[in-house]
Amino acid sequence: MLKAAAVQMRQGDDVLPRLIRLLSQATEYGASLMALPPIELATTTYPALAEGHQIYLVACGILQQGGQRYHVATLYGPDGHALGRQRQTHLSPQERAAGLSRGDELAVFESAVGRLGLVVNTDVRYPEVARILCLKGANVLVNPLAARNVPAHDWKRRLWREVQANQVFGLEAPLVGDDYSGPATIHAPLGMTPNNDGVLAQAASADADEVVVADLDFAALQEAVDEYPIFRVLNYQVYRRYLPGVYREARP
Amino acid sequence: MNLVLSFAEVKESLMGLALKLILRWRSRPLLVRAALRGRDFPQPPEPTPGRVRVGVVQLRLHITGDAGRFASAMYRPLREAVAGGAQLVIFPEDTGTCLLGLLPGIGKLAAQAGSLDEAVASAAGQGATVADVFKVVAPGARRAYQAAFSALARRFSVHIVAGSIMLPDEAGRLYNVACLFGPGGRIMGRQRKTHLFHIEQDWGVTPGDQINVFDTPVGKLAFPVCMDHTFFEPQRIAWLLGAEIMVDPSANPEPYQYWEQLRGVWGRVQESPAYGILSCLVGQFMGFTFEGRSGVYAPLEMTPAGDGILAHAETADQEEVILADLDLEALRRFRAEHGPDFNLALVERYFPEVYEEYRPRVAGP
Repeated sequence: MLKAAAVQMRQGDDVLPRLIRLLSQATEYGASLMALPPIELATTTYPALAEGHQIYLVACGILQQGGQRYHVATLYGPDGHALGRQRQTHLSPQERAAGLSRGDELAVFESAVGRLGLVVNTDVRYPEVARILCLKGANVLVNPLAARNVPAHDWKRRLWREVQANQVFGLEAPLVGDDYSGPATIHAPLGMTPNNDGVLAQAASADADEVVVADLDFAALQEAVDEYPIFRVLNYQVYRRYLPGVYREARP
Repeated sequence: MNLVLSFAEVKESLMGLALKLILRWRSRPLLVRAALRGRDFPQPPEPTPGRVRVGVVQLRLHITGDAGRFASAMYRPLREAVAGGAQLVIFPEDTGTCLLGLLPGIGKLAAQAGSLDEAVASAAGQGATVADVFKVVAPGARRAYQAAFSALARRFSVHIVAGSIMLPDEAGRLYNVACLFGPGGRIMGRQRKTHLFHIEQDWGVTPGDQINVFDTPVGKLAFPVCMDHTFFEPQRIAWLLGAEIMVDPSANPEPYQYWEQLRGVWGRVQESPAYGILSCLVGQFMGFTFEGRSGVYAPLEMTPAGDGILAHAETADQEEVILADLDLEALRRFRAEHGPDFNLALVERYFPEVYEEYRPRVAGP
């Protein structure tokens, strides 16, 4: 059985030693995939961490590419190689003000730990992103997140919503503390979770460093989808009629 | 051409004629007028630009044998909503299904058979589909539904999203159609359900292929039906076409569960900032037990408790009428500040072709 981990962390001093402690904890639990929040850490650090702990890592930070700055999530393999990078495709007003750019491509990364779709930060608020990734075959969505000063119920309209809408697993790795909104959560379709609430594992604290781990049972996921196959209800005729033209001629 | 009809054909055509006459008789508008005679019709306040009070009917269905009884059943909760000041009143999905009772004997059959499918099989024989039965009753059901809601909307001077009814088009395809009645009594808009529940697929219902938005004195309304709200696309399209109030007439034949219901219109208005109105069918009908907790929703930031809820029914299995005030000016300010800020290049790259890419495969890694 594949075990996956999602981390929540505070910004600030000692990021690296705190991260190493959480990584060791996750690998003790047997995790072979771990999602990290967008902490401030040199991206050159991650290959060694992934290789050192023999784990797949999803990390997120600001990268300079072709003269532009983007929020980028990167999947590292246990050999330390970057297996895929995903640029953020939507910007918050603050990100726009900070001069960040956005990408317009989405990719699914096939790996030994699932077909991963990386939902970078703000992209979790745009259902187009998770839908495109899941139509392209993603079965695990990973969301590194920095959401500040949001209402308490915000988590129910983030990755929770996308996981239910697309019937996949979800790893939510948020920054916490200083009014950043957690908690770290591992999501699955309602029927697969013990309390029928869509949560396989969730951090206990609102603002302390923490790692949560859960089994991703892909056979059970297949059963859940077969039981309630919502993608069979998708209505191509409607989408062909309106998409993407209706975005161009938006009238709100 | 053979002009001599067999006895069986004569019998069948006479029975068809008899059935047509029965449906006409039971759906005649005179019955609606008689049922509403002498009742009181409180009037809602005149619409003020940018503000509207909505009433949500959580309704139990009863099999109904004629247009007058149907009008009486809808009158009661509608009166309560309008007396509370509602200018727009929402009924749940499948209100028109009561009118299967126009068919002689169907009520008794349904009670004995325990399910609609069984009732159909014993009434019309194996091989007949539920869609066939809806098509047979449609001329009467259409007339009774329109006569009742038209009279009610006119007498109360109110906008009504009158739940939905199964109706065929000229080609004989059956749709689950929700209708908006204006205060003049006219139908101002229709919305065919575009994403069908698996039971409806089994019944032989056809999905609609349009999303409509109606600009009315009580706001810009869209009312995709029930399962449509499980998918982000219908609301996104409606939002982009200008909708500010997303109405969800719903009938869910499953026990109420908080998290299951959260997958619907509540989440949709968080994605596409708008007001959301959920009206639920409750109680037992035709072998199904319907549950759901009706509600009025908005983006988290626009609700007092920060939970996205402006009003909620107290129960998930009893008849109720709930009321809420919508501030459309506040919604417009919220949208101006919070977006969404779409990525045109992204949607142009993937839509609509990406929908063809999907193959039902999950298992892995």
